[in-house]
Amino acid sequence: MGQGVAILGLFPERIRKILQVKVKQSDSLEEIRLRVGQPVRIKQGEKELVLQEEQKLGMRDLTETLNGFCKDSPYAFAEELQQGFLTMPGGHWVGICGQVILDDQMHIRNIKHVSYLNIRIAHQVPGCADPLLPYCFQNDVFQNTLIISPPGAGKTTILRDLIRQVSDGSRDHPGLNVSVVDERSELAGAFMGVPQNDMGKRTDVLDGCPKALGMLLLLRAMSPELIAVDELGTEADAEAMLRVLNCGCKILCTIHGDDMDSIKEKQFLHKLWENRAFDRFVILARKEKQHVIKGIYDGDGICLKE
Amino acid sequence: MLKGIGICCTLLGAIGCCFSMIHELDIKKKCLQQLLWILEMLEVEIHYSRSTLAEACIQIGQKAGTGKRDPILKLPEQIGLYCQEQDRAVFATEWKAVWKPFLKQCYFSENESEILATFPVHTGFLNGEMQENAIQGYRKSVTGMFVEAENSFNMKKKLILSFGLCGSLLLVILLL
Repeated sequence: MGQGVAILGLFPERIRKILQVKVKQSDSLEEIRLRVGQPVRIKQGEKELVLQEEQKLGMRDLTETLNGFCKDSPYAFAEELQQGFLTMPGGHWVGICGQVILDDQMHIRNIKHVSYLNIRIAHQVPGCADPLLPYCFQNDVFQNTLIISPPGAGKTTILRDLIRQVSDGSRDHPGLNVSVVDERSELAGAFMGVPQNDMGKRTDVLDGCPKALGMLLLLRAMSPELIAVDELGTEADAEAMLRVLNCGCKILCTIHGDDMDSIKEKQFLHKLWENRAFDRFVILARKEKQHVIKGIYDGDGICLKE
Repeated sequence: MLKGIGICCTLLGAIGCCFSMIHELDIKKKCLQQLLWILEMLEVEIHYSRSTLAEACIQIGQKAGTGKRDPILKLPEQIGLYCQEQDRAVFATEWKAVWKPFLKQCYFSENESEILATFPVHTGFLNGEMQENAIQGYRKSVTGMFVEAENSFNMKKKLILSFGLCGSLLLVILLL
């Protein structure tokens, strides 16, 4: 049975019929793309398939699909729609594109005439962080870790599994109270407040909150031992992270990049460098369609594993 | 003796008939009143917690309490739970399917139940404020129906009672 079978039920009948056979057969379904005036396209691993080419999608198909995803209440998902994405039951992620409605300050108010949907099938790979875990602890103490990865190299998947394992604990390490700021609902894949992915026994998830605000809120509210966030991207994120570190809490985060040098160029991280915020750097890469750990370095840049 | 029993039966029958007619009108009025409460609560749920329609319906059901409650108050929860459990359940279809037969039981005419079951036409907005406004608009039309039903109830109640009593008295006089 394919991973996308569970989401078939969320599609309107016509699209469900188109998807049915391929989705049921596929174990490596990554994406379903719906575009107005185009047939349904799916991505299995590196391969793209066009399903029933003669069956072009209309505006109605896309509206019905989106309404189904929103449980016929698009207003309840207005904030997500504003950002161009939705999370569905099962943690699957839907990217939305159409005509943008702007407000007076030129901020995106909403998206109307939704004509493109990109459904990304959630992948949980339990155990994918196994090779990384021993390096994240030193003398039983979790080390502040930054995962550096180019897009599509599996940083969110590895981060999710790492959070789960650190939270659950093992024979070697006791479980930690982990708090997660899941700004884009990608990590926990929360649907209506309920995480759809296994995030571990001792994990609290703050969903849909900007990282900088969320980290400080969690620090006050949940007294975490470790705070995890995905994709550091702004100066505010870096500053919030410093405050977290000053409170004695550990951090685990990811960032877009190819190697250590590409990260050092990022202006907003300068304060974190100055304060030697990270004890471990994990560099990920995609090699021959596989996600691989390219290297693990300590805070001084000494290679621990290649 | 038999005459006396006959007179009593006639009088009781007439009064019973009157009260049954009044009861029908009362049910209709109460039904509209409860629907107005449901709509008000729906607005509040949407305004405060931006709940989906299904979620809001479940919450309304829970707020209405459990056990012996008005059957109409069970409907939103029933719709909400169905929509929540069934992936492809369409709120509009489920609303119509549940409300239409119920409204018929409550002595609403075909036309009235058609209007009342069209609530989902007022849903599906992208913006919460617009959704609230749409529900408010619909609530206004239901309020209009309720005022009409109340006036009609007060008027018909008196009419039915006076006709019933006069008619039965006339029958009694004729029988005597």
